[in-house]
Amino acid sequence: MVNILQRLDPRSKIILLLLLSIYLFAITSSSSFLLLSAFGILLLIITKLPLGYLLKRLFPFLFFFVFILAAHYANILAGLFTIWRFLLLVLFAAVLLWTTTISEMVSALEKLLSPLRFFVSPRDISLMVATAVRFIPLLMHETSQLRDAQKSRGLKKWRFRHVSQLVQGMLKKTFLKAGAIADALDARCYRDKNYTRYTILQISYRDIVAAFVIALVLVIDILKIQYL
Amino acid sequence: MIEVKNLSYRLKKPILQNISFSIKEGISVALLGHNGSGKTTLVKHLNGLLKAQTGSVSVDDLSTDWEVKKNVGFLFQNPDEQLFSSIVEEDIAFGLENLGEKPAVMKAKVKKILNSLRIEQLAQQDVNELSFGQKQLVALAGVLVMEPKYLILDEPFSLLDPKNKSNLISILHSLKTTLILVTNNLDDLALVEEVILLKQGKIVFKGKRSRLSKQILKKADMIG
Repeated sequence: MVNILQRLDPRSKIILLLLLSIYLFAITSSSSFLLLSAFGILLLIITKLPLGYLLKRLFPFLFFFVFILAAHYANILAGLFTIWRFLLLVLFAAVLLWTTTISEMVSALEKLLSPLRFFVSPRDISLMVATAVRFIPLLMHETSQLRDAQKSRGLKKWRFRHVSQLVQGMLKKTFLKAGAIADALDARCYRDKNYTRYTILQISYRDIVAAFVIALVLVIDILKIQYL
Repeated sequence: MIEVKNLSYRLKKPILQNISFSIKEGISVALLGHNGSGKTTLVKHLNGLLKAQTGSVSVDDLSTDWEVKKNVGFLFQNPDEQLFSSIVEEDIAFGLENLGEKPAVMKAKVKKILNSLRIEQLAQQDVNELSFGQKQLVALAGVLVMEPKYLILDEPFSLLDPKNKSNLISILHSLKTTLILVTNNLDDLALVEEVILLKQGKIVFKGKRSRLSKQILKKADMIG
């Protein structure tokens, strides 16, 4: 079932995530952490984000968290607060990724970059992001094919020259693929001016409500700091 | 009409040498030849991906590269290298976005092409999750939706299994577009009326498929 966050305009979700992230790095009191954590848990419930999905996104940060604790060995509590901060940041980012498709993100990025169109081409940048998302799994697959080809020819122990052969092979494949992609783009009349978009982004009342809710959370926290 | 006059192209060695032929609208043609005979280089000239170093290529007297690309669609051998968006219907619409079509028109055209290729169930699917045959159909839809007058197919069957190949062949049979089929497989000639046979960058035969004799094929090392 489509939840309310999936119906939000991806631009508002990105902007609100940025706002929350900035605020997250400004707070210091444990009550603020508790309030934002409660808000994060509420988002988890609304979006029905599976715990496994969240843990998968947290896993790459484990080493980083250990490093933070080690760096704060004189003040473990400060280290724990820093980790808490990052946990919340990953949670909010996971909610964004769970409720937004890649193409919505790319369209949003293109729109958000449009004020910079006199310096860079927003369409070129969004296309770069889209092709990276699309082709990185393919390149990973081809790397594993090359590795298998090396193993099938008797490679048991990896030495520097084998890694070097793998890298050379991958570089060659990547450049050939880049050339083919450029041709395919050209063949489909790619241009960064006078084009239209298939996906139309539209700010609705839901986005205003979402912005209001986030503002309310932040205002409650700011007032609480001032008056309690 | 596509008209190629005295086209030559070389990189370190000559790839195409003094090629001349014409393709009339409505008459499907195969460019036949071994790997490395210059077929792909030649068709890349037909839709403006490559510029003629000597000689000329003209398509319906169109004056800009962009107009040529719009009218000469190109289906590449490997669909993985021509699908840019993550979602099928968005990828099909990619060419229409570049043509500046209105969103409502795009939606209607995408729906129509999905239906005509019988892949409407794939509309919302992630491109990375499709089978190879499905990717080839999506890539074809992305080209056909732009309604090109001519359609270049660069060895479209070489990576397909027999079932997907026969499906694609039946779709190509039903098209009204002029096909320009690049192939090294004699079985594929059933799709076309005329053949241009290349050997080491030179034309050794051009004409009706029925006139293509065993002797000519032997001369071009296409049969033993």
